[in-house]
Amino acid sequence: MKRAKIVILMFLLMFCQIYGLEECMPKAYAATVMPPQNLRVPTLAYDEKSITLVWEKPRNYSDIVNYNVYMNGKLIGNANENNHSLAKTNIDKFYEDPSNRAAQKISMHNYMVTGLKAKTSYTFTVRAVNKEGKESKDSIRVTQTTMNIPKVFNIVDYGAVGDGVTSNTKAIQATIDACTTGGKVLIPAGIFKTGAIWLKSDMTLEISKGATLLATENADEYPYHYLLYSYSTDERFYSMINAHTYDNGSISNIRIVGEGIIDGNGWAQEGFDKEDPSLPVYYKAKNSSKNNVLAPNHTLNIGMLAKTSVEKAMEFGNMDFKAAYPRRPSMVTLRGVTNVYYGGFTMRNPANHGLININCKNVTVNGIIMQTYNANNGDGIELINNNGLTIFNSFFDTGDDGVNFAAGQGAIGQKGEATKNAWIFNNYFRHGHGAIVAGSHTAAWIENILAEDNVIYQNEVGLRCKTSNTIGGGARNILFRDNALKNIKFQAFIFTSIYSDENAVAKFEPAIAPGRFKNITIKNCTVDTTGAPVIEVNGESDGFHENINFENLRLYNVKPAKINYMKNSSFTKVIFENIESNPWSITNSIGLSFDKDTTVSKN
Amino acid sequence: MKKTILVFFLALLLINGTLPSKAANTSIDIIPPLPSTVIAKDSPENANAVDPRAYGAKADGVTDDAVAIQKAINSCAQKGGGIVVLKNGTFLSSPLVLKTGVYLKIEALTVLKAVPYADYPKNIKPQSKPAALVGAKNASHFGVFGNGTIDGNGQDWWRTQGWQGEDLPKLKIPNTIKRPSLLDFSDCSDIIVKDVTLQNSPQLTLVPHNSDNVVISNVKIYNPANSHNTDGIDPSGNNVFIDGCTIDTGDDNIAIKGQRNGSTQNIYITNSTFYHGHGLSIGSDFVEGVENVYAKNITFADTETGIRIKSVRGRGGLVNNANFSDITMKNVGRAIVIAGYYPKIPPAGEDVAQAIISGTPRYQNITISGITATAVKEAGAIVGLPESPIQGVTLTNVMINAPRGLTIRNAQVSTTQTTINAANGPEYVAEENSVINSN
Repeated sequence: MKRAKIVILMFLLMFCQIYGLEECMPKAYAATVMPPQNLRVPTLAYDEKSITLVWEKPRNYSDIVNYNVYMNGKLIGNANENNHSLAKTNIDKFYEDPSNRAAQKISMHNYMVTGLKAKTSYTFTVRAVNKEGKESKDSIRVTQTTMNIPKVFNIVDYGAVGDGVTSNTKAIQATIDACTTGGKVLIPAGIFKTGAIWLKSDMTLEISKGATLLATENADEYPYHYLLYSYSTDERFYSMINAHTYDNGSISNIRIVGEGIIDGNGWAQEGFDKEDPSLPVYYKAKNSSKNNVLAPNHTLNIGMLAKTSVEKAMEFGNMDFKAAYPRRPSMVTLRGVTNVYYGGFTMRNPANHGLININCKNVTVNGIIMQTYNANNGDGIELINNNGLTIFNSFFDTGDDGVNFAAGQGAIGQKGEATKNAWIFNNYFRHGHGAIVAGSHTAAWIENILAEDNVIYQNEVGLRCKTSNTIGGGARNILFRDNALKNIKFQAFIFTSIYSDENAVAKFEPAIAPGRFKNITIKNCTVDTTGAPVIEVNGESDGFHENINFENLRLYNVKPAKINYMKNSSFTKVIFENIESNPWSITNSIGLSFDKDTTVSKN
Repeated sequence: MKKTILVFFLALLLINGTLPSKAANTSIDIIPPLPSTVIAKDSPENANAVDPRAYGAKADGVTDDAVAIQKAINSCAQKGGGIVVLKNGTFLSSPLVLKTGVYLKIEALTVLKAVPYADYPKNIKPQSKPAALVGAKNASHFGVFGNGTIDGNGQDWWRTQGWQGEDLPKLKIPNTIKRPSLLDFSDCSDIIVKDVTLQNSPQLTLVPHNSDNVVISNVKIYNPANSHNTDGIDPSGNNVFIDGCTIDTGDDNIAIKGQRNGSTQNIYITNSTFYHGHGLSIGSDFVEGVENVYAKNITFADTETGIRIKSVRGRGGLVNNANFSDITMKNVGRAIVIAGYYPKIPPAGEDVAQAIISGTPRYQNITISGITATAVKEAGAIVGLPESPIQGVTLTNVMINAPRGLTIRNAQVSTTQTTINAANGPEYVAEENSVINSN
């Protein structure tokens, strides 16, 4: 009898271990910590002296407080303590603030190993750690060989002058053209002004500590007639840093790294951030005029490259200011590149958008600092018909969206490649229109996005999905979990079919079916204070948004949810605290389920 | 007396300064570099390429291998893309259709040749052209490359109409005889054509039609000089790059056309040489317009015309921002012909203004600089319509040697450091409503 009991017990234990059912384990085994999953080195996240690791949380992670990193069998550090990025510093400050003690805790799951030898193989494992200090078993083992020491091509050797005045476009392009496979084009300390330059396969562009690569305000230095989509009607200037191919993937392996600054020279600087004076604040253009007198913050008053490029477009195209305004150059445009790595640099003040990636594949963004606040259209990073994004450790203080996904417009756009497979984690979003945005260009679909373990503070919107009748497509398969949101100016989560951007002058053949959002889960998040409905859904009668599920959300001091034309969606354990009125305003919706939701009203 | 002269000159200056210049144009003339022409799936060993012999192709130059080649193309298309490689032989073929993601690679010394006229499938509709030897429709990310040759067997078509050989006068083929193009891509995008030799097309050679994002690099086109309507490259679409090409043909070496919806924009033609044909043309059909043409580092030898913009009432539209720079012309018929009339320009004083319609040719902002030309007939003609004068033509550092000068009518032309060495008659034959500002 005793034997039978033991056999049954062993079987149960095995069963539970295999299926991770901790709840059915006897108490003595409840403390087993699950190991992290899918340990890997993201695309190009290594060089001759460092290797960056990322890993996913296991299925059960609620008891995990840290991750230990082992190299060649030795403990070398942990994810919480050995991360000195600006994003991590701000994340720590956020949680040290006592007013954020109830904010959703986030878990760090990236690690940069430095001080390594070139051309050497290193093997890594990671173990999860619970609050008692107990470790999980090893994750899978990952072996990575560091790169050879690259041949360095210093732009100064090709005639570049770092005086902040000389135009170095030809010198820098000559350096790039001379750079051999696997080589590095080096921008040394100094201020190097440049017009449009063109990158190529198998190269690193490094902006050294103390270096600024400054976009020239001379609009003549940027080719014109750039079309985002071949069917776009508004042409623009090319960006400061470019690469292009129409055979996607035939340009590959581009790294843009360094501790220096790339500066788009877009707008005059208004001052510094009041709360964090280390952050520059650029003028936000207000392009109104009365009786031919321009508003003080009109682009033609406070713009730099923004102003000169618009003036050039007006003159060249014989058009008025409004038509010329969207044509300003952006910071980086890579088209058709496979394997892109952006690491460590600061990106500031673009005349238009920041880092644009079109039809690219496998883009890694590690620890970059985006300071574009409050530049008009100053998106941090855009992914357009893109496959594969891993973005972590990055700091966003942007004048427009932080991370924006786009997939074309209308009937022609629907034939493009879907924008898909993105993992956004361990980032600090501060100021921005939407921290994470899908749309408004949704024609070929935006899908498979995991956004987790981010802090979103002071953005206008947390997760924003926008489309319209005519754009078509939509966004689907999005998991937004374990994020802390605070001081959101408008909505924490918005899904809207009504969107208009007065800066978008493009016209296009409309899609057949209206754009829609579906199969989206938002869970384990806290939202502290919104100025508009915490959850807002604006579908249309012929385009419901559906299967959007909210679970385990604590919403404090937010505005009531406003839902219109939504179906087959659920709200589970959604807790409103400190709310004045009924938290739900629901119209024209069917198949909505509510479970374990509570409201704690204002006292 | 002095005062009168002063006033007279001031008046002249004023008149010249206030004449209409509708579109201000400081050209933005940086040409972006050629997009990469690397084809990601290609490898020298053709590791993953499909050889149509696997589907029964004979490559003996006698058997029609179309079925086998098409099967190879289709099998790549089904996998989302790939390369079909033709090597070690002559593949005789009737029309083929390329599909999204599929590139046709033709190795050196290999020929893809069209079946003879008698065997070439004609269009069921007698008014329509037969299918091109290599065609595509609504496809993207595809192309043709390799150091091999595509031969349209054009001679077989022309002989049915009495063509007897190359060194004879041109034989015009009646319009009722519909001939196929050699390569025709319609409503496509993201196309690479590189390194191949295209020859003996029955009619038009390479036509990316209503197609965007096209790169044509290091392509050689050879059609007999006396072949009829054998245009070299006829692009219509946005973002077309033509670089390092040699085109020796019987009609327009390049003819830039209008698209179906919206203007053709951003055509870049660089580092190329044109022989014997009708020149680098915009037109004659572009109702939706053509904008942003950049031609740089071009050599013309023995072509009928050098730079040409041609259209006619009803078939024209806006041509805006066309730039031609660093051009050498040897023994061309006429160096520059920009006319709102086609095929013939009426004599001076004969045409009267008509109503402006959507098909009225309107040319503006034409920049021509760095040209050295010898022309055997005349320097050329810049002749607009009375109702639609040509605006904003600038000639800078232009030198043309010709028997007769440059005719200007219904046009406004500014010249800087420009010399027309006309053996007979004036440099500029200034006809009605012509404005020539020499700096």
